[in-house]
Amino acid sequence: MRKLALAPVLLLCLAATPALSLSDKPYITATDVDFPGLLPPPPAEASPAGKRDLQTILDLEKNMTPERMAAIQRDLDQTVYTIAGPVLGPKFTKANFPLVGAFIDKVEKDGGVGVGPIKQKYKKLRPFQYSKDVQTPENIAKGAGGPTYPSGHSTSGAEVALILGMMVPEKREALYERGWEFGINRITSGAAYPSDFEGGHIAATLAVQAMMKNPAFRADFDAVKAEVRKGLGLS
Amino acid sequence: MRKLFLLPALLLCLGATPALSLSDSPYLAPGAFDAVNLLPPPPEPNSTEQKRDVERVLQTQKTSTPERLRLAQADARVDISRFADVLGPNFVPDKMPVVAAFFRKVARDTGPVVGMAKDCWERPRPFVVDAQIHPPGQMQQETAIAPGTAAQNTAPHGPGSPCLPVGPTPAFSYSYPSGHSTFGAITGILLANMVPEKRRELFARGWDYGESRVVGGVHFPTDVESGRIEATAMVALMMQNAEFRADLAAARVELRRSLGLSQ
Repeated sequence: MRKLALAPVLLLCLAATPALSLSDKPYITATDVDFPGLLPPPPAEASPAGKRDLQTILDLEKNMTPERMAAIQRDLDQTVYTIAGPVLGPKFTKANFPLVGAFIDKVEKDGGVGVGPIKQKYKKLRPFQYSKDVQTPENIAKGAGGPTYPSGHSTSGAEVALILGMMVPEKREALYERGWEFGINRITSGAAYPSDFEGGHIAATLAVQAMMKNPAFRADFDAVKAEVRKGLGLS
Repeated sequence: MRKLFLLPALLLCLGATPALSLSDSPYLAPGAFDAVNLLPPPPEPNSTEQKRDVERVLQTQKTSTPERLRLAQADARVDISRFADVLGPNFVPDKMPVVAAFFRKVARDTGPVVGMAKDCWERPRPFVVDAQIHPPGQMQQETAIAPGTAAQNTAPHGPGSPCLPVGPTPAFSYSYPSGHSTFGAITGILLANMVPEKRRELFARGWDYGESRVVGGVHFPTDVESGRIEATAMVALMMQNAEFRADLAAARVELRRSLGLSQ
């Protein structure tokens, strides 16, 4: 059951996180969308498309700067605050906007019915596991244990852009730019191929399209939208 | 109502086109795919993303072999027979009335969505933006809008719409998203559904069909990616339509028989 208990006075007294809970039903299930049938198989490393994929990483790495590397390291945190913070401003934190964080976490967790099985279906090696020419910082390599296709970071970046873009259309373009950059940073660090990035964007779009038809998602979307717009001082 | 009349003997007598009709209702209801909210906006003029897109077109054109450039020109034809590279010489759509009618109907039902999305963002083609980009052969001319064509922007432009205000009719059709890439991806996904034995090759061909547009300098990489996203999302929606699934099954039977594959 969906519960919406807004008791601001009590909350102030308790200084607790809001007693506003999201639906306990999944926003999407494995039977809603045939993800494995719709996402392209990733290119084999030795195919022309696979070689193009690797070359793109090597070209991006050539232009690496300390600033870019710092941005890549910051983006290891896969939360809505890290993804959308640079666009929505320094006040967009978990303390000020608790609900949107829980909501996007649920979107990503439930949306895992798409990306998870495909990762296991192809079990494609990460770029740094395949080629010694790829320079990936040790901490990133260590954290990127699972198969590379599709990219979970690119999926998250696109899900945040898709959903927050609908909640805050005033910042839609900047949210997409940032959501896509979140995935590009993954490529630049040699942790994902461009085809993983594209696969993540496709998976995110299919997931959000299906979720938008789910009344439980819609109700939570509306509640979160109200939190975000109010907190940002938007009408 | 759905009608499926298979009367081969009668057809032979009449020498007519098959009286086999697919579903009359659209596979994809108008507005079912929320393109303007589900597709990323294209890079803005003069942005870093736009520069990267231009750079990638130039780089791709420079590194493409003459053979790849010829393939790009041949892929300008929007026709499922382009997939004969994968399915072999027996893949002759003219001899497969159900398959041909099915893909024609898919194109008819999905085409307006692509046009609407193009009208939403009104992005100019790469060769319009950068004079160093030269499409080979007829590829540039093939995107020209005939002079005197009535301006008809089909995108929503009201309050709350992410679409740009309606601009003057351009000399060349809009770039974003790529309709050829959408067609290539839809066709690849559906043929792979019918012939899973060649799944990998069919997807690769459908995706490469989109890449042909970048090779040709008539699309940006972001146009192509969004075309593929749009294709996948529209097939996901059509798959929920029972009439679509029934027609897909009928097309599969004919295709597999024609290719000599088991049912």
